[in-house]
Amino acid sequence: MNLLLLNVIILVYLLATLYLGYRGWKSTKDSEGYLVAGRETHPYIMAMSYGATFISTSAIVGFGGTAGLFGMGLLWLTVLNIFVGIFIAFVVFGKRTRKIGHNLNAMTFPELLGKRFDSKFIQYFSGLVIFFGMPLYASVVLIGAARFMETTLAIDFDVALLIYSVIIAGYVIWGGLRGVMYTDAMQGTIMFVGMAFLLVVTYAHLGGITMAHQALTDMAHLVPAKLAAQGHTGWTSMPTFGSTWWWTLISTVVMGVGIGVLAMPQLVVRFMTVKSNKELNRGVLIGGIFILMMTGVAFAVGALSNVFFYQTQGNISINIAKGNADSIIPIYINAATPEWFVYLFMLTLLAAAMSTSSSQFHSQGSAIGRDIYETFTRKKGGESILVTRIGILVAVVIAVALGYILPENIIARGTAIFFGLCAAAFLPMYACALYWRGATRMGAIAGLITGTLLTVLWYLFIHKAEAVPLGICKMLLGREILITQMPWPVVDPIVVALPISFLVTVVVSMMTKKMNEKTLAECFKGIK
Amino acid sequence: MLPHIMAFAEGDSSGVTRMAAKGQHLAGVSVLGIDDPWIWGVYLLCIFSALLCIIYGAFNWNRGGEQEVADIKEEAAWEAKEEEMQEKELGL
Repeated sequence: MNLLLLNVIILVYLLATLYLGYRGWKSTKDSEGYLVAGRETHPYIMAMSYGATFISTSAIVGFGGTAGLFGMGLLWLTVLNIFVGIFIAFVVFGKRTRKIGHNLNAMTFPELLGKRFDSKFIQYFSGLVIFFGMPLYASVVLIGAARFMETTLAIDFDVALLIYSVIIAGYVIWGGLRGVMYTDAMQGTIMFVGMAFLLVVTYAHLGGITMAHQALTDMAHLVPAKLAAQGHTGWTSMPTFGSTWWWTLISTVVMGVGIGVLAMPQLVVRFMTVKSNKELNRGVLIGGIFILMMTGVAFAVGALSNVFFYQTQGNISINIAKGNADSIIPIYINAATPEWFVYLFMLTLLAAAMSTSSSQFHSQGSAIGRDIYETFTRKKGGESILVTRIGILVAVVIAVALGYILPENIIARGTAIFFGLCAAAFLPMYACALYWRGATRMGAIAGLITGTLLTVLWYLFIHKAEAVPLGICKMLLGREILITQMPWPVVDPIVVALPISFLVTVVVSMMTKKMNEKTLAECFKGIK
Repeated sequence: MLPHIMAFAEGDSSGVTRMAAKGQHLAGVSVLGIDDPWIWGVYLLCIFSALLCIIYGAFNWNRGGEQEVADIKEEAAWEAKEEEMQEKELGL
């Protein structure tokens, strides 16, 4: 390890961050007319800021490593990331969310839904789902950063997790960075350059695009027998249709995360902070390229790491990583790229994780303070602030504790669980809230409860990967899972819970009392 | 490779047979060193999806910025409230 180089890179990075943070802060403080007149944010700054918030260590380290295990089939997730996560999210959901959010004066995602359907229950129940569901996602983001630190600095994972947790706790308690579009944009730029460099280095090292892919195609016979038995057919071919491997790839990894992004509380809120639809239109262009360079490169490189390790060390990635897919990308970057890049990449990942972690903890804090406590007690101010801060602290502690408890190979799965839960619980009512005036309060509540309960029960009693280690089914019913008939033990809850929740929302809405015309008029004011 | 596929698709066999045969034929095609059409297809689809975003963004680059005074006031009020919430409830 070159300590001098590491320290110089950290110092330059910190100085640049502080300078840009100060510039961002100063520009918001200085211009009195900022809210009305100074609305022209440079589209590059805006879109890069979006990108840096979208992408965390989970996408690059967690899912990149999963591609090292599953192969290029993960690129289906990139297609959804771009088409659903950027195009549909910005164009179809973003514009209306922004308008309705402003019409209703909503500050959080649960508040938007609660006010749209005139229901306190929707607000606090959604707050509860976020507060109890998000720690898993927050935790895997911490794990992603710690795994990279563990490999790069050659320190124990537990120590790396502790160091990172202290940094993040200090960052959150200090208040996070406000007015940091410039800092975010710098992080986004470094991530973009870093991933582009990674892509070029990987293909150059393996002899070009076609040669690299061909080498990976030719490695199909190296798939371990145990994985082949589950449907793994190689790293440049889809798993056997209907096999365990296929269902996990398609239903959990691709659909869970690809669709769930539409109903992520911290991303929905960002649409409401956008100045105008123009920023959303421009964001589509830059966001599309950015996501391709982030997840597209991470998944392609993750899969190709098998060729690199086979050519240099005579083994496939998952074996090099000792069975832990979460370590594949850190080990690959350390082995295949120059030392200065490894340090730069580590800082980039830490920074990317930091902005995500910070928004996750704040989302959980506001869920408990604003959406739950204020809704129940109708008290605002003093006590609510205290509850929010305690909520943030509890969220940090839970996430760190989970980081120590959770098993290996958890980053992608943990992310997928939370994304899937959000999709099933919120997406039907959110989509109806934006586009269907006929959706009723009872319909939304029925859909919310159905989606949440079905997802939770499916994980506890049917989906083998969670039901068996959790052991609740075994304890209550004396058997590990309720249905053993294939493919149900490997079908992700989203496949069942999302359509049923949609159906329930629509059917109950058609059978129950329509929403008050006055409320609807207020919601849809200015929408043609 | 492409003309070969097209020539095949233009043949006079019935729809179903043609589809099945085409699928079989595609399975034998290697694009960029990848044999499985579901994988080289998605590799290209990633690039096309990004292109779709680029085209949409370029065509609408200046659209959606025209706002009425009422909109600006409404947004300013929302932002002020959001700022207050950030300060009072999150302590930022």
